[in-house]
Order: sequence, then structure tokens, then C-alpha cells
Amino acid sequence: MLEIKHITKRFGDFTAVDALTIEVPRGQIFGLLGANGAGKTTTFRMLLGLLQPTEGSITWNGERIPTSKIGYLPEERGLYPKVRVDEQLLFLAELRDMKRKDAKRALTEWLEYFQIPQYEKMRVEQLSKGNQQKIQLISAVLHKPELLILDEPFSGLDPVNAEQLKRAVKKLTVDGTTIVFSSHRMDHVEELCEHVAILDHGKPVVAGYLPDIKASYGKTRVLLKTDAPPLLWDSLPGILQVESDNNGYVVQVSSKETADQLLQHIVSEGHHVDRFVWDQLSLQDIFIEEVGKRYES
Amino acid sequence: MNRKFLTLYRFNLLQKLRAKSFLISTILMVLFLVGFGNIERILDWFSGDDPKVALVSELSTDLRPALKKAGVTSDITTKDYTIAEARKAVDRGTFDVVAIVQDSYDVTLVSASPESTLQTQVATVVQQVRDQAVITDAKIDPNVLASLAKPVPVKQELTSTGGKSEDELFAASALVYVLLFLMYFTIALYGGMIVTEIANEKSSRVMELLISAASPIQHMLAKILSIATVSLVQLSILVGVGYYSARSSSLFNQLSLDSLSVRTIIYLFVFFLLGYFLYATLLAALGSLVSRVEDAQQVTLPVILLIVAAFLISMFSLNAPTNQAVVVLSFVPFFTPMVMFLRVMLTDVPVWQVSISLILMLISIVLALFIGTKFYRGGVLFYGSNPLKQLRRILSGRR
Repeated sequence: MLEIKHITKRFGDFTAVDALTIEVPRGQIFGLLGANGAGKTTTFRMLLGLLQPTEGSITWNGERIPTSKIGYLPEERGLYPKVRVDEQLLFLAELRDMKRKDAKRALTEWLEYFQIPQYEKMRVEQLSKGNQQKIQLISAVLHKPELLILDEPFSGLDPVNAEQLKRAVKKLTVDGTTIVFSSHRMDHVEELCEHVAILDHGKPVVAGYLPDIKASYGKTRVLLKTDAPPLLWDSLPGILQVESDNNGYVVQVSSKETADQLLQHIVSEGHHVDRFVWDQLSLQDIFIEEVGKRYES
Repeated sequence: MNRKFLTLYRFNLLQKLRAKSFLISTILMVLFLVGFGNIERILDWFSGDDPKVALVSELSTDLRPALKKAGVTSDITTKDYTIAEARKAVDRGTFDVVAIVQDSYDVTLVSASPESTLQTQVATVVQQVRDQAVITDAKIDPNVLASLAKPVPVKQELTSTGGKSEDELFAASALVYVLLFLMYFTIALYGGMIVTEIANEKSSRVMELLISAASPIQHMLAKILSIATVSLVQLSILVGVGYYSARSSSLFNQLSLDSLSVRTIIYLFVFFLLGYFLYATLLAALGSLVSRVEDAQQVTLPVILLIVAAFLISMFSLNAPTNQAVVVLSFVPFFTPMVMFLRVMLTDVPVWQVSISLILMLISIVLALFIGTKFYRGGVLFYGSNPLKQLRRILSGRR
């Protein structure tokens, strides 16, 4: 279990991370969200032991995290461009205390998992960006870390590669790896994470277990597709906001009862409903509401 | 700690030794050395055929046998030219050189370009003929001449056992030159390599992976030691090749390497290694401040200037190794490897002085390592373009 207690990092007068607290049980995924400069990378560097928190503590099963148990995928990809794939991956695994023989076996497995065994002896600079990214991920997981830190793992990937990487991440959690990752893609975070924290200028504006967070918002929304014009229903009591997009409308409502009334109202007026989905707020909504609010004030 | 260090060391070393650049630079340097060692032979090769020489002599003695003995390799044809005719003969290309010797022992050499070797040879021969004539005319007893020509013998008695003989002094100053060159060469080349490598690892962002897995000091030491090993491998190849190719040249014989004592070699090794480590650590620390290879120059320059300063100081000290300023400077760690080595080679330096200078060097290496790791920790995670700003940031505790 990863326990981050009240960590704060100050650089001179500047506070990069302000009192972040989060707990992530083994085998679960924690997503760290935030705009650029919100303090995500600083948080990761503290987890890695590259930076010491000014206040607070980070523990892994109650102890300091040993470097051999961490895997790290940095935001800016970092590999030796002119060194062969197998040479540098084995080197990096050995540096995290893995035996060369074991590392070799694991490397073959991973290359086969991604269906790229032919790249084993090639130099990194010869590979495409998507394949470099897979190699980078292998460099982070080869030594079988218990805690895996992924900084923007899906940025710059095409959908096929992103999907492949996502599958790999899920597979790792099944094996018991605890994962901390950051992304600005809310859909990825929502799909993968049980725990999230949204940082804004270093301050955690939202942090905790995702279903709890969503529930605490009380607000829910309806995804609606209908031929009834909004004028007909958007002033019903309990309707907070209406946005339209290609798929119809996203309606924020104050409660489940409001949603029911909305549906009944449209049908009773003789209109069709092609799609009606009652849902909690999406992470995107929460993010925009929390972070956006601060920009406005 | 040890295993990680070894992993880092082995990886760095193998990557360097296997790189094409290592092979190419070694081959180039070997070629250069072989060329330099055989410079006399190569020059000979290009000098072409012997010049065609004509001799016009008013003297009764035949100068040709004497000229041959003096080392003239060309065939010499006797002719009866006037100066004007000699000029024409040279212009036409019938002869390259015409030597005209008058009975007053005045010599004129006619040639298209200066022939300094031949000029000396002719002058020596004609002078001998003239001297012989003068001696015969004055009826001087050959025995008197012989006793005049005999040099006065001077025997040198040395009172202190540590004193240096003339030969030793000469060999020592030659060695000091060699060492100065080696130090400059090694530090500029391999020190620069350290900075480039670190900047490379930073710009390709591997550094974040490396120092999150191993401590900065392990990484820094592995870098310095692996490049030191590379430099030793390369230098041994070069010294070996250089020794064999230069063995026969006259330049080399003047070095009189036979007078090298074990003590000298140990000093050479110790000062050289300590010097390398001091400068390498300094460069590694400074290298962590730049984030792109293009900026490496900015931080290597001050260090290179230090080496140049050490070099200039030792050049001055060669002529005045006992000067008070030289003695003081030999304790400054940056200058110790060159200046103290020079003092040890050329004068009697008390053991306590050598020991103190060595201890000071060791202390400053440890200090440079300490500061280096501090820089490293702060420097490698920061990607600015200005090393000075970077330095301020680290010193003020902001990263």
C-alpha cells in the first residue's frame, strides 16, 4: 500500500505541491490530474526519491520505497538513442537489482507481448515513436516493480498503440502492481483509475476514491437525444445546465428525480427519445468545475 | 552500492570501447604517431634524388675524396666554369649546384635555391685544406697542435646524494614536457568526453531513469572511472606504438629514457592520476549544469583555462624550479600535478612537502566529488540553457 501523507514541496517562496494526501492499495491505480505546472512531475520525483518533500511523508507498506521496487516512465522519454534495445533495457533492469538472466527472460516475454521481438537488437533511434514508447514502458516494468510510476504514458500515441499500452497497464494491476499515473486525458483516467487527485497550482482540489468523489458531488447528468427542442424542457425545476453536442444534449440535473421528470415530460409532450442515459458527473466535468472555478475567481 | 556501481561502470565502459568513434580516433592517433616517429625517414623519401654537383677548383688538391668523406652523396663532376658559365649551367639544368673554389680559399655556390647542407660540407672541407696549408707554411710542430686541441677535463663531484646529474636533469625536463603534454591532452580530450556524455544523457533524459535507480555519486564515479579506463587503454596503445615507432629517431634518443628510475615512474603515475581525477570530477560536476551538448563548451572553457594556466606556470618553472612563487604554486591542487612533479624531478623536494601537496589534492578531489554530487542532484533534473542560472538555483536550494 502506498501512503502519501500531507506532502508539501517548496522551492524558495514557490510551493510546487501543497499538502497532498492519498492512499493507494496494492494492485490499484491512482491517477494524478492537473494542468501543466500543477505539480504532477514534482510529486513523482518525490515518490522516486529524487526530491525530498519539505513536509510530510511517503511510505510503501510503512517503509521507505526501495529503488529496486519502483518502475518509472518519465514524461519526456528517456533512452539512449544510439544504444541497442536489449543492451540498454538489460542495463536499466540490472541497475534496479535484477539478475541479468532473469531480465533477459522477462525482456523476451515483453517484446513478444507487444509483438515486436524483431526490434531486440536494433538501436532505439531506428524505431518509430510508438515502438520507442513501448520500449520505454518495458524499461519501466522489466524488473517487475511493485510500484509503477507513469508520467503521461499515452501522450503522442495513436489510438491503436494507446489501447495496447492500456491493456498492458491493466495486465500489470492484475499481477498486483500498484500504479500511479498522470494524464491530461480524462477518459483514460476515468477508465483506469480507482483513485484520483486533481492538482491545481500544487493544491489538491479533489483527492480520493473516484466513486466516492463522484458521489460527493451529488449532481448527476443525463445524456439525452431527442427531437424535442430544449425550449420545451430546459426550464423544468432541477435542471442546472444544458449543453449540446453531436450526440444530443448533456443535461446537468440536481437529482435522479429530476431526471425521471425530464423523461416523462418529453414523452408526455409527444416527442421521441432516442437515447436517455442517467449518469454521474464525468471526471472531465469535475476537473473543469474545480480547476475552471479557480481560474474565474 | 558496489553492484550498481559495477553495472554502471561496465555499461559505460563497453559502450565507449565498442563505439566506432573510439576505434577511429585510436587509429588516427596511431597513424599520427607512426608518422611523427618516422618523420626523418618520410622527409628523406620526399627529398628526391641527389642534386647534380659540379666542382670548379683552383686548388692543387683534389677535393672530391674529402667531400665524399664529409657526407656528400652526389656524384661530383669537375669543370672549368667561370661564374657566368656556372650560372648558365644551373639555369640550363645541366647541374643543380656549381661550387667554385678560388685559390684564395673563397667559395661561391651557384644554385637555384639555397643548399645549406652542401654549403656546410664544402666549407668544412675547404677549411681543412686551408688549415693544413697554413700549418705547413708556418712549419708548426704537429705535436704542439695536438696538445692545443686537447680539451680540459672537468670532473664533477656531487656532495649531496639526492643531487641530479646533468643527464638526469635533462631527462627530467624532457619527461616533464612529456607529462605536461599528456596531462593537457588527456584532460582536454577525456574530460571533454565526460561533459559531453553527461550532457547527452541529460538531453536524452536517460538521466532521470539513472539517478532514480542509482545515487548521483555512483553514477558520477562510474562515469569518471570508465572514461579513465578508456583513456588508459587508449594511452597504452599510443605509448606502445609511439615507443616502437620512435625508438630509432634521434629525437627519441635525446630523451635518454634509460635514466628513468622507478621513483620517477611512480611519481609520474600518481600525479597524473590525481590530476586526472581532480579535473574530471570538476568537469563532471560542471557537466551536470548543461542540458545540451552544444552548451558543453561554456563549462569546459574555464577548466581548460586552469589547465593552460598550470601549463604556463610549469613552463616558467622549468627554468626556475627553486623560485619561491613556484614552490608556493606547487601546493595549489590545480597546479600540483604539473608543478610539484616538475619540482620533484628537477630539485630536491622534502618528503613532507610532497606529502602535503598530495593530501591537499586528495582533499580537493573529495571536495569536488561532494560539490559535484550536489550539483548533480540539482543539475540533472533541471533543463535550462544557462549554466550560471542553474548554479544559482542549486546554491540557493531551489531546483
